[in-house]
Amino acid sequence: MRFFTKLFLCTVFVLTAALAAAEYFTVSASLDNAVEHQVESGLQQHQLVKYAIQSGILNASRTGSVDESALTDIAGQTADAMSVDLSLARNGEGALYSNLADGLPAAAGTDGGIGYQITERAVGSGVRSDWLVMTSTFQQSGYTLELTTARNVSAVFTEAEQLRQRCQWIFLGATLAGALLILLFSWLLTRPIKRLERSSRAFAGGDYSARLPVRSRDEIGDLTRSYNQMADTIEDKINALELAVRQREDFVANFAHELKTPMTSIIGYADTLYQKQLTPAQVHEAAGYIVNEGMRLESLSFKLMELITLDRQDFLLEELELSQLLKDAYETAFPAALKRGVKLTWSAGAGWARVEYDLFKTLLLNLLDNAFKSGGDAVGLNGAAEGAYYAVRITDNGRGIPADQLQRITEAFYMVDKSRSRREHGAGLGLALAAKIAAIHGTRLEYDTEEGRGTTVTLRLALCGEEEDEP
Amino acid sequence: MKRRNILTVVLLPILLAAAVLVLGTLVPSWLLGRQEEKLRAQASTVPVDAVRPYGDDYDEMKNELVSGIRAIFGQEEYDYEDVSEKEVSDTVDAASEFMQAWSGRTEQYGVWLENDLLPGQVYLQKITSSASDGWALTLDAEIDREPYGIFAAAVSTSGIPIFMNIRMENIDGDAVRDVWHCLLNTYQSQCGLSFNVILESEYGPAVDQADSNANVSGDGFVQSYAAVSSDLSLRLELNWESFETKYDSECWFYVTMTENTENNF
Repeated sequence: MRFFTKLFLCTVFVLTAALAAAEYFTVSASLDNAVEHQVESGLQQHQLVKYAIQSGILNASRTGSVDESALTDIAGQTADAMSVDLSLARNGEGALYSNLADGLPAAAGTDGGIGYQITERAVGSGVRSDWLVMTSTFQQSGYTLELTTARNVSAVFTEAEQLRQRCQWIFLGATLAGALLILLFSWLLTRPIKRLERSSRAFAGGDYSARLPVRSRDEIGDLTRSYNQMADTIEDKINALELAVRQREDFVANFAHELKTPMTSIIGYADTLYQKQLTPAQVHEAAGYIVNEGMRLESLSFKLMELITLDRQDFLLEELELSQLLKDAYETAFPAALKRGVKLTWSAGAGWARVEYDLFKTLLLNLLDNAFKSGGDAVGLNGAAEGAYYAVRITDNGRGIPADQLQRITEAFYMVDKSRSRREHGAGLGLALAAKIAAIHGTRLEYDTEEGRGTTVTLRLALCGEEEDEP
Repeated sequence: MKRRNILTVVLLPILLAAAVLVLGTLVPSWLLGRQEEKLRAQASTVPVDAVRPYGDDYDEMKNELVSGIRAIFGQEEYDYEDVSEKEVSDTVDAASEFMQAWSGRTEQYGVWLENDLLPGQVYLQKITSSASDGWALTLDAEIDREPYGIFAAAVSTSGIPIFMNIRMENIDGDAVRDVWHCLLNTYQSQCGLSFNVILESEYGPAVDQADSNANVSGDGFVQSYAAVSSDLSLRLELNWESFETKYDSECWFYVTMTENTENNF
């Protein structure tokens, strides 16, 4: 059974129960009140009748003795004067006077009290009437008399029945109207849930953009908000997974391509050496190509190995003085700069940070190598403490990096200018390595680049003894 | 599968809603039917004292009168306490109103009671008795109107006369009957107390009316009246005596209200 149906049925049940209870208690209270009122006024009337008969007896006794005939007259006159149904009897004997309807029993009265009861009497075929019968006994002028009065209370039950019927119509009308309203409200209340269900089904079917507007501040609104957050998170994760898969595919494709290019050259030159008679100069040239491409392959395999190794190892960082590390990197890179005709300068302030010497030096050399290949003629390596951090900056005045490619330059095998990179024995792995090493040191590479004017790469290391905050 | 869906989604809810509706209709009817049966089977007895055909106010007034009667006529010892008019102004005002109403009625029959009933200077005393938890107020006055000026009365807390003793200029026997009926009507109109007359004696000579008072000479005449309240709880009597004095003819009214303890007169 659907939630909508359950909500509808439960509410209809509660409404019906409430209306039925209201109907019952209304009619019941009305009947009780009417009966109570009838009993109260009946008892008062009974008492007044008794006083009237006693007064009548007193008046009669002024003129002489009161006999049974006088009692009968007094009872008759009282019944006529007060328009009341009564019976007067000497205690334990037959009635001296009675105008009571046939079949009405006397209630059990006592000396000190008035007994009463409601009794049903058949009037005709299938017609019945209800009577309130009251009886009391009293002494007067030497007689012990039993007085019974009766009043027709059929109207009380008739009115109660009429009220019940009216209430029942009201109950039916109110229930049906209420059910329609409940149907409407149930639909309105469950509509957001239905929308949520449709959206989540679409999401499950692959529509990761399925979202819902938050239209209320209630639980449904909270649920919608949570659903949207969950969908955002899942979409981000899926996008990240898709990106990782794509990167892996690109990696494999690039790796195959990068392997194929030197292999083609090596096989081509080796085949030439194998099949053709070449001059010593030609042999030297071909062997040179083979060595060159072989070295490229070796470099490629080393870097790949490092990349894989970086993913799998925990490195022990130790506190080192960074100016010395920067100087070592400068001295290592200097011959390459000289060879490329690039002016390499360095400056480093003192500062201690937790680093793995070889890895960090590799990172710097990769960044310097990239700077050398940037097409500029000056590269700077600078280090200085800045607050809680030690900032290392590698600056070049080369061609810069297009802004739309900044996101991808740390992907393996990604090359901004593939032909130029290959010409310079690049494989697109240097910055990927650098980014991983930076991550191992708890920092990241920040690029400040402008096409045609150069690039500055900055990385910040937390100084030892300082609070470690996010750089 | 589709058939099952129709059963669950459409038919079952409709059936359940209909069942709830039918139950909501039948259950109250059944409960009310049971209540009617129970009412018809009910037989009970209420004490006569709990039935108040004249209402709660009447009973309150009657109880107060009974308390006053017991304070005045109770067999136990009672105490007098002098009080100022200010302390019992409500009672005095109500009693005064009663007297005015009575005298107003008697004027229609040529009997002028006003000067005899409402003297200017009244001596007030509160009567309490161990026989009663209420109190009554006596009003005594000697009116500066020789030789008749005597008025004494005792009234309940709310100023209803319980006892009156009035000495006044003589009136004839028919006028006494008028005074008596005016008194009954005044009780009816002022307090809602309705009385049924049970005794109206003939005007006649007193059997033993010799008065030791030097002013009284010769035999007098007496007349007695009695009535009981409509609920037979109170008895009111008026006794009238007339005397010929050496100065003039004078009469005495004695009005007494008592508890009616037995209905067998």
